[in-house]
Amino acid sequence: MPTVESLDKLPSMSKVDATRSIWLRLSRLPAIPLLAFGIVLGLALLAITAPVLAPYPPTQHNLAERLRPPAWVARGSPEHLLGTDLYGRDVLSRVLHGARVSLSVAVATIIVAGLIGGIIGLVAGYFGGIYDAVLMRLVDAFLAVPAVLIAIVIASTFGPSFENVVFVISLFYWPRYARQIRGETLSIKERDFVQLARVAGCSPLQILVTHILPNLAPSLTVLASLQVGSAIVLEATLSFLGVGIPPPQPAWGVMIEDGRGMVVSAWWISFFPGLAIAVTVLAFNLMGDWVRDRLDPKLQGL
Amino acid sequence: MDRSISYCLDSESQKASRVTSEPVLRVEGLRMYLRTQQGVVKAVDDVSFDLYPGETLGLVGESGCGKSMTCLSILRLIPDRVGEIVDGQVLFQGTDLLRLSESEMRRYRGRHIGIILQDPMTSLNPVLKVGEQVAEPLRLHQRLRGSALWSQVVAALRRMRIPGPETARNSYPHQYSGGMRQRVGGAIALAPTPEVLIADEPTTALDATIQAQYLALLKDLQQQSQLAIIFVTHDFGIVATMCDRVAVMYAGKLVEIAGVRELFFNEPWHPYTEALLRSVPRLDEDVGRLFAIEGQPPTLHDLPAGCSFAPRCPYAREWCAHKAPPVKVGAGGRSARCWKLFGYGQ
Repeated sequence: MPTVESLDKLPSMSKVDATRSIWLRLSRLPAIPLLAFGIVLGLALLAITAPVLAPYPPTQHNLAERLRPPAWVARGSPEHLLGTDLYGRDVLSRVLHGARVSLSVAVATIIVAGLIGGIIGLVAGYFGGIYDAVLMRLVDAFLAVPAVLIAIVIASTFGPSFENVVFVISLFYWPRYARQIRGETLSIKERDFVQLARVAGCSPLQILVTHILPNLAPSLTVLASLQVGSAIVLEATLSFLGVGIPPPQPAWGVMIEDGRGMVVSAWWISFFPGLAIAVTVLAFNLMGDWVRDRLDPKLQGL
Repeated sequence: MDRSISYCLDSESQKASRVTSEPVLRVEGLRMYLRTQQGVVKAVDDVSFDLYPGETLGLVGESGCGKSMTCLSILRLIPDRVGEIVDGQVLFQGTDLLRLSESEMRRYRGRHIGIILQDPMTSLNPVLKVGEQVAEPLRLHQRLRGSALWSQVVAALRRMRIPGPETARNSYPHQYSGGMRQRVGGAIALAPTPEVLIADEPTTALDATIQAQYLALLKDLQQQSQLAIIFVTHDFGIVATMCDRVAVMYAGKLVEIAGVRELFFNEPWHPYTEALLRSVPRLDEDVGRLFAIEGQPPTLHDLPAGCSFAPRCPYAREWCAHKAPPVKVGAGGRSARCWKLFGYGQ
């Protein structure tokens, strides 16, 4: 074998090549996921810069300008591009600030639900036996409870607030993480490298954290990206029912409820937040689908 | 290749040292029972053998005869829910591993007894960098950190002749070929310089040339470090190449232990060993039909009362089916379990 040593001197991929390949990959994305990524990215930017971007504070009343239609409709004013609501609050400003609320609820839910569900799934899958039986029955129980009903009970007991919305949504989303993680842990723990990690002197905790968890990253990503959409819808539902984000705050669900009585006369009050929800959820779902197609090991090789 | 595979039948010096030295690993009456749906299965049933420094013990037998289960039992890697070691001793340099607590056992596993598994595709973690995986046992067993750790990692990879050991720090297993991955597996097992290496069919998944290279490499490392190897295989070619002694397993029991030379040049004691050797096709004989042992190996939850091999044995007499055969021990640690050696109990 004369050439073994010369392999050492093969050039490795440099940093410049790596950044270029990321751009190359992005530019080769099909149109739909590219659009979805663009919308998600744009939303995130809008949400972050909402205080700067929005022409008015989201809760500022201006009774002189109340119920003004969007700028391009008769009686509309260029001062209020998407019109104003019953109290003269600027709809555009409120929709922009609403993105902040929706996205932060979604992100917080994913973190809380992912953490709880992940830990429970890992423990149930890795230790098995009685742990598995008890924890998975708990999961079944939670999946059987109607989310909205419990949310109303919790909100009416503790009062509506951002924390309670995150708590309620997480309460109903962690079982999905737990199930998925448990299933994959079951199959990963049987692979030889886990056995070898024990030989290397790893404790169960070290095996879970350094060997099993990194292997779950793709499915966690898929699950998280697919749940953003439904978390946003559930948040809007709760807010609409008055058990989510408390009213003066500009949540999309709250705004739809605000305009509910005037859908015929002042359609713009509930139309634009509704449109925002639809576009956001669609973009997140399309992105989630694409991420799943790329990362889901079950679809690999199909 | 820079060296031909040396047949180990000439390693007389090792044999001489074996007689004087203490065994590094002594397995005594090991029994491991598996819990299954059909009931308790005696997967490892009264297995005893000694392993001396610098020697290679081949462990052969059909699939499901308990070879791998014996190896996992030695390392206590059988999960509690699956099975249980019910009896026996595993003495590593005089310490009974079966009596250690789990945290004490963790200090022996890998540090003193390493293992290489069969499939290089699943024995490496796909999402961890190769260097990290070689470093792990060194970090946990020897508490190495920083540059001392990395120089040991590079040294371990270099010992297994992995090209570009420095780049392993930043590469992932999928960037390596099967043969290279198996070398990485070897590097992981041998990095903490164990005294005993369990090689569970390490070359089964490799093609013939890579297999020969790998075996030569192991043999080389063994000669440098007096490493004792338990080599699980069902390839008698490998047995002839690698091993000093062979232990033959059948249905969870060790049926014969003998030196390779005794087995190949004199006749085997146990009819099962004889049949196994006859099943190996030979290049210098022209046969129309390959020899196969009649019948099936018994299912372990329904073993015959007497000798497990009796239903397939051409020498079996009525007696064999009723009473389990005792072990006949001969010179040089040779032994076998067969009624034929005792005149069928007459």
